[in-house]
Order: sequence, then structure tokens, then C-alpha cells
Amino acid sequence: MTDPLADQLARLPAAALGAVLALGLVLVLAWTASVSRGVAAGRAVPASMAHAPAEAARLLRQGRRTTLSADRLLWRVGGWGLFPVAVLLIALVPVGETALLPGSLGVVWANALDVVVWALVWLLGWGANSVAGLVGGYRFLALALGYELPLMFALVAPAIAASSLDLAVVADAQSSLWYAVWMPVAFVAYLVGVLGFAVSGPLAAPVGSEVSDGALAELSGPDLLVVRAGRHALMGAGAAIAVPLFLGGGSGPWLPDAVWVVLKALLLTGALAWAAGRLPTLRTHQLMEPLWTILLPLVVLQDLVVAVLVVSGS
Amino acid sequence: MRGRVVTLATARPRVYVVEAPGGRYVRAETHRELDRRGWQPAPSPASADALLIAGTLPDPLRAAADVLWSQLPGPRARAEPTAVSSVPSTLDGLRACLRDRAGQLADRRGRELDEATRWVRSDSARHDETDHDDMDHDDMEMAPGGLVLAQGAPDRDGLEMDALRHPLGPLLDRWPGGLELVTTLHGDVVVEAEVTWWEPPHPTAPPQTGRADDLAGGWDAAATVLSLLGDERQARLARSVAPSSPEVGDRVLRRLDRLTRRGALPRTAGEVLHTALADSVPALISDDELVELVSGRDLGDVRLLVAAHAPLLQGVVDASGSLDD
Repeated sequence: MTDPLADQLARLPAAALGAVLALGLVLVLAWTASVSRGVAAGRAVPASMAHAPAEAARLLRQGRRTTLSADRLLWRVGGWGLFPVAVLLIALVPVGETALLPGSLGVVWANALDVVVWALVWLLGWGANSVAGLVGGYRFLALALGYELPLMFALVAPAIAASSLDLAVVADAQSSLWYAVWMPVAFVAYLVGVLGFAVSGPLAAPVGSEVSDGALAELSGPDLLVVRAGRHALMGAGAAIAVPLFLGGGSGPWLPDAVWVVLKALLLTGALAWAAGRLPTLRTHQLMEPLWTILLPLVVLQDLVVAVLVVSGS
Repeated sequence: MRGRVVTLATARPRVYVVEAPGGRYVRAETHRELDRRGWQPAPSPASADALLIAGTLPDPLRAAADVLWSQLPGPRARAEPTAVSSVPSTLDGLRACLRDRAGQLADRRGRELDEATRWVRSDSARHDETDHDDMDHDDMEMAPGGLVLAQGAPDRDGLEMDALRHPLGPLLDRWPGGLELVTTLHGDVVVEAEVTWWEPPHPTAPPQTGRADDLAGGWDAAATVLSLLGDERQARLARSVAPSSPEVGDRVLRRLDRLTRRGALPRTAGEVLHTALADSVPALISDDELVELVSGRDLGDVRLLVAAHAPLLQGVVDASGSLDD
């Protein structure tokens, strides 16, 4: 009885260190997304790098505000929940030997966490009791319906190919060829999903500038800061999950595994954020149709192709 | 240390820019000056550091401006430049005000008297106090905050929807000065709208800039539309278009056409911008045509449509002089 407990206690410092590293990685990924976003918006690189610290200082100095009859508890839960979700996602990613939260169901957990974002963004829009916020919240629900199904089927493809839901096993199964190469449709659908739960790029309508930033309209100060950081962090976390799923995990020449995982996550985050900054925000009703009538059938077809190849190959 | 943080925090203040009736030219110059400094306009008063009202407000709107002012969380600064030439010094003044620690502290202490603070603080108490004299609609239920709840109305498909009266303007960013569009919303769809124009207190003459004003109006509208679409990079380009740089104009125009083709921009808005920038000056839009234009559109589309048509709206032309003059 005492042995397993002592064992657990002995592992505590390592776990604490891992948690700090995961938090640090999320911050670095979020900052990368912010810098890349700034460059895409036409700012110089140094200005883009200074943007996040300056905005953080500005918003930390700014007061908090509330609105008439706001649902304050749910509103704040929605805003402050985004960043922790990103940290949990990062904790699932196998870096080097193991993930901070290893397990045989990593793919399922990643999916479950991205669905939590549905609730958070909607609550963010709902809580402020404002027209712009509600419009943003409902836009997000509509978009979430659109991107989530392709995203779920995209997650199925690597799991079928590796015959496992364990992210570490999925990563190891790509020793010969990255899944991003031979299942490109699933990879693209996954990235669209990442843009969706990070509420950016073409899927940024819920925080659309033309409805006064929608779900963010009534936020100020630290409450706005955590939401902005949370969106960048979610983009980084989504990119980091793509590393074991589609980009061969830690495989790569010369450098240790852990370095490759971080490097790939940084590069993908930067690319994704840049694309998000360059692509126009599309109107909600115009996204639903292509997401369901084009992307979803294509992803299902991709799953079928993967399944047939796996069965015939083995 | 503290001073350094304040300097960093106020390096690029976010300014909520509102156009007063007839304040087009001052507002356009404000946006250009913000571009030159690398400051970004604030998308809503909630996250803004400063409120800038371009032009002179008529007296009835002064109280409304005070409510808007109370929406800024603080530290905050406020200014109302009335001439194009005073815009740079006004922005300098705003930043100096944000950096003035004593002044900001005093402002924060005085905020107990704010219009909206009073609303929010006494949220629960207000329900008992409110005397219902100002509400002569007996059938309207009251929410705890003293807000009027939305009423039901049949939707286009026969289901009942909440009908919410939601005014857009007259004090709204990236919105024609003096336009008040009171919409009735079913969800996010505008089913009805009423137009009111607020007149400027005295007629304002367009500044002698030496550039073709009709085209400048078109580029200004294009910049507003691009900014509303979240594309600040192209919006900056559109604002910087001068008669001497046709290739920049071509780039912006191609971008707008692409956005229209992809459906990011409502077709009507894309077409009117294209006409204004490439071919000729489109026909002016009367108030009835404006109502027709926005009916049945969602709230986002309404903002884009109004922005695209802004230089052609009857009220804007009346307030700031004809584009062709």
C-alpha cells in the first residue's frame, strides 16, 4: 500500500517540472502565433515581437468592466477557461520519452478538449448580455457544427492507420512516411478545425470585426488579455497535437526527439497563424455549405481509403 | 520600473474613433494619422484607451457621448478634434493624458458618478426603485436590470422569434456620422429599420486637400469595409491611396473584387465599391433605399453595406457637402 504511494510522491517533482515546461511551451507557442499574426498583418518583425508584451501591459493596466445584468460567473468561466484547455492539450503531446499526461486514449482526449471550447466561446458571447456578444456566440455554435464533424473524422484517419488511440503509438507508426503526406485531406480538415477552435482566419466570424468583435465586444483589461492569449494558445496547442498525429512526432535527424516535436509545433503554429492573418474572414452562412457538402464527404472518403489500405496491407 | 511599464502600455493606445455629423474629413484624417503612428483603432469602447469624436456633436447627442465615454474601462482619455490640422496634436494629447497618473487616479475616483456605472452597480436594487413612468408600453416585461425584454413576433418562416429593437449609431465606430439606424432584429437578422439623421451644429466645409474628393470618398469607404472585414493591412493600403499611386489602388481593388467573389463581402457592397473606384460615381442613396438595402440582412452585413455606401448616403452628403463640389 505504501509502496505505490511513495512511488507517486517520488514522481511528483518530475510532474511539477513537466507542468511548468508545458505551461512555458504554451506561452511560447501562443507568442509565436501572435508574432506570425502580426507579420501577416503587415507589421515589421520587431514590432510584431513587441506587440504581445505591449498589449499585455496595456490590458493589465486597464480596468475590468461589466455590463448590465451580465451573467458574470459563466462569462468569466468562458474567458478564463480557454488558456487552461490549451495547456491540457499540450500535456497530451508526447515530447521525448513520454507525454505529461500519457495514456492509451490521447486522441479521444484531444477531441474532448476541443469540444469544451464550444461551451467556453458560447458562454463568452452569452455572458455579457449584449447583442454583439450573443451574435458572436451563436455564430460560433453554427461554425462549430460545421468544422467539428470534419475534424472528428480527420482524427479517425491516423488512429485507423496506427490501430491505436495513443498519441505516442500514432507518432511511432509514422517512421516511414508522415501521415500528413499520405492522408492530406484529413490533415487539411484537422487544420481547418484548429482554426475553428482558435476562432481565427476564415472561421473568425464569431469575433468578427463587423459585429464589434462579437463574443469579445464587452471584454476589457485582464479578461480580454486571457481570451486573446487563449486563442493564440489554442492555435499553438492544435498545431502541437498535429505533430504526433500527422507529422511523425519526434522523428528527425541529428536532434533529439523532444527538440523535433517543439520545432515542428513552432513551425506549424507560425504557418497556421500567418495563413489565418492573410485569409479573409468568411461569413457564417457561406462556410456551412462547403464544410458539410465538400469537406465532410472528402474526409469520410479519406477514412475509407486509409481503412482499405490498412486492411489490404496487413 | 512602474514608469517603464506605463510607457510600454501606452506606446500605442487603442482609440475608439467616432464620426460626428459632418465629421468625415476629420475622421478620415484621424485614421490616416493612426496609420502613420502604427496605432490601431479600438473595435469597441470596452477595450479602448481613448475616445475620439471627430467633428462637433449637436447638443442632443452630448448626453449620449457621455454614456459612451462611461463605457471605457479606464485609464481613459477623450478628445473632439474639429479640424483636420489639429488631429496630430489631439492624438499626442490623448497619450499624454493616459500617461498622467494623477489625472487618471482622479478620473477613477470620479467614476462613481458615471452614467453606466450607476446602472450596473445598482443592478439588483434598481428593479425596486424604477418607476415605470418612462415605459408606456404595458405589454413590455421588465428584466431585473430595468431592461426592456424583447417581444415576440412571427418570423419569415412562421415561427415566433424575439423581436429586439437595436439601434446602430449615431455614435458608432466606422459608421457614417449622424446616422441613426434603429433596427428590429430577429436573432441577428434585421427585419425592419428606421433612419434618422442628426444634423451638424454648423455646416462644415470640406478641406482643400487638392485631391479628387469623390474618389477619396470611395477609397475611404473601401478602407472602412476592409477594416470591418478585419483586414487592417489592406485597409491601411486603401487609406494611403493617392492619385499619384494608381498601382496601390489597383491592388486594393483586386482584393475587394476577390473578397466579393468569395462571398466574404455582400455582393451589393462589393459592386458599389467597384463602381465608385473603377468606373464612375454611383447614384446617391435615399433613406428609403437604405432601409431596403439593409432589410433581411444579418447584422454584420448591415455594417458592411452601410460602410460601402457611406459616401453616397443622402445625409452624409448633406452634412459634409456634395462629393462633386
